[in-house]
Amino acid sequence: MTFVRAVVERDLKLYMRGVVDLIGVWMFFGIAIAMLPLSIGPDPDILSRIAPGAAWAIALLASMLSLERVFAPDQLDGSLDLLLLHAPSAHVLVLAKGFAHWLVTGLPFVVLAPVAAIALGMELRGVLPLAGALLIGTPALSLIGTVGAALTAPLRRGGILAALIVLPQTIPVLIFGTAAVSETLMGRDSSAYFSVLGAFTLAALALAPYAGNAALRAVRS
Amino acid sequence: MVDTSKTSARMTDPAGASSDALVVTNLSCVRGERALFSGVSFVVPGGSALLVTGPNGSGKSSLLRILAGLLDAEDGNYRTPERGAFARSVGYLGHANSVKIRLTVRENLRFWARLAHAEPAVEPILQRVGLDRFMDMPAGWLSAGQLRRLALSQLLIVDSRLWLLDEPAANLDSGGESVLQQELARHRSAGGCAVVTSPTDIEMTDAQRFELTGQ
Repeated sequence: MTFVRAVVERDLKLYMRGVVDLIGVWMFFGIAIAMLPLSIGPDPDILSRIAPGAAWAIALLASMLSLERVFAPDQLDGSLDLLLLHAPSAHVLVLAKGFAHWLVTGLPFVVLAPVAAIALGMELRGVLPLAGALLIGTPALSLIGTVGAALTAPLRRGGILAALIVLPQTIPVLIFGTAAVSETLMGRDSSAYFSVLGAFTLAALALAPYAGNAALRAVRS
Repeated sequence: MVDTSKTSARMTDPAGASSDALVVTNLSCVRGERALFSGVSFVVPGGSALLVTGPNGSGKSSLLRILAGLLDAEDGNYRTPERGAFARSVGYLGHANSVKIRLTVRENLRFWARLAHAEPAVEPILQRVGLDRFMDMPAGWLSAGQLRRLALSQLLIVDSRLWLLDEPAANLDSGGESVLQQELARHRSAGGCAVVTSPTDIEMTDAQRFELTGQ
C-alpha cells in the first residue's frame, strides 16, 4: 500500500508539474464537445439525442491523449527499472499507474459532465446519469489504456500506437456507457447497463495488472 | 520483479555459500540472436565487491540487469543475498540515472526513500554525496555529474544489501569518484556486497575481478 501511495502521489506531482499537457487534454474534451453543434447544426432534438454517445466518445478519445505519459518517461530515464525492482510486483505498479492516470484524465470528465450536457442541450435530468456512467466506466478506460501504454513504453512516440491498440478494447465500455445514459433519458430502467458497465471496470481491474505485467516483460526484454 | 522464491527454488545450492552472498552459477545471456556470455559463475560474499570488466557490448549491463531481475537469463541461475539488517535485498544503479528532472533533488530522493523506509533521512545522504546545497533545486538544473551523484544517493537511501552498479563513475569528477569509493567501503564494512561494472580496469581496493571477454 505504501508503494501504491508513493507512486500515485509522485505521478500526480509529475502530471501537475506538466499541467499544460493536462489542460490540453481537458480542453480537448470541452472544445470537441463545443464543436459538435457547429458541425451537426444547432437542432436541439438531434443534439440532445446524440449527447450521451458524443460525450462518451470524446471522453474516450481524450483519455487516450495522455497515454504516452504513463510509462514512456519512466522507461526513458530509467525510473521504470527501479520501480519494477522495488515494486511488490509489477501488477501493483500497473494498478498504481492506471489509478494515477484515471485521477487526471478520467475523474475530470466526470466533473465536466454537466458542462458537456448543457453544451449539447441534454435534458438536465441526464446530467447525473452521465456523470455516474463516466464515474463507473472511465476507470476501465484508464486501466485498459495503461496496458497499451505498457506495450508502447520503449517507443519514442508511442501514444498514437497505444491509442490504436486500446480503442478497440474499449468498445463495450462505450456501448454500455452510452446506453446507460440514453435509456435513463428515455425513461426506461437502465440499471442493467450500469451494472454491466461496472462489471467491465471490475474485469479491467482484475485483468489489466496481468496484461500490463506481461506487456512490460515482453517489450523490455 | 525480483522473485526470490523462484530464484532460490531454481538454485542448486553450492556448498558453503551463506545467505549473505550473491551466488551466480553458470549464467548465460542471449540478446536477439547473439550469445553475450555463457557459463558465468562467481560468488560475492558479504563485505566484498566484484569488478566486472569487458569491452563494449560484452554483456556487462545485461549481467547486472539479470541479477536485478529486470531481464531473464537464457540459462543458469543466481541467488541474491538475504536482506538481513538492510532495508532491501537488491539495489540497482543503472546506466540511466532514474531522476525526474521536474522534481526537486529532495523530492526525487524522498520518493525512493518512501519505497524502502517509513522515515526518509534525506538530508544526511545528500550531504554525503555533496548535493545538500542543491536540495530544493529542480533536478533538471543539475549537471551530468551532479545527476550521477543524485542517482548514487537514491541507491544509498534505499539501503540494499547487494549493490549492482553499472559504470557508476560515469560523468563523476574526482570528488565524486572518491565519494563513490567511500560509500562502497562503508557499504562493505556494513556487510553489504557489490557488483560493479566498468569498461576499463579501474582502481578498486580489495575487489575480486571478473572479465567478460565478449564472444
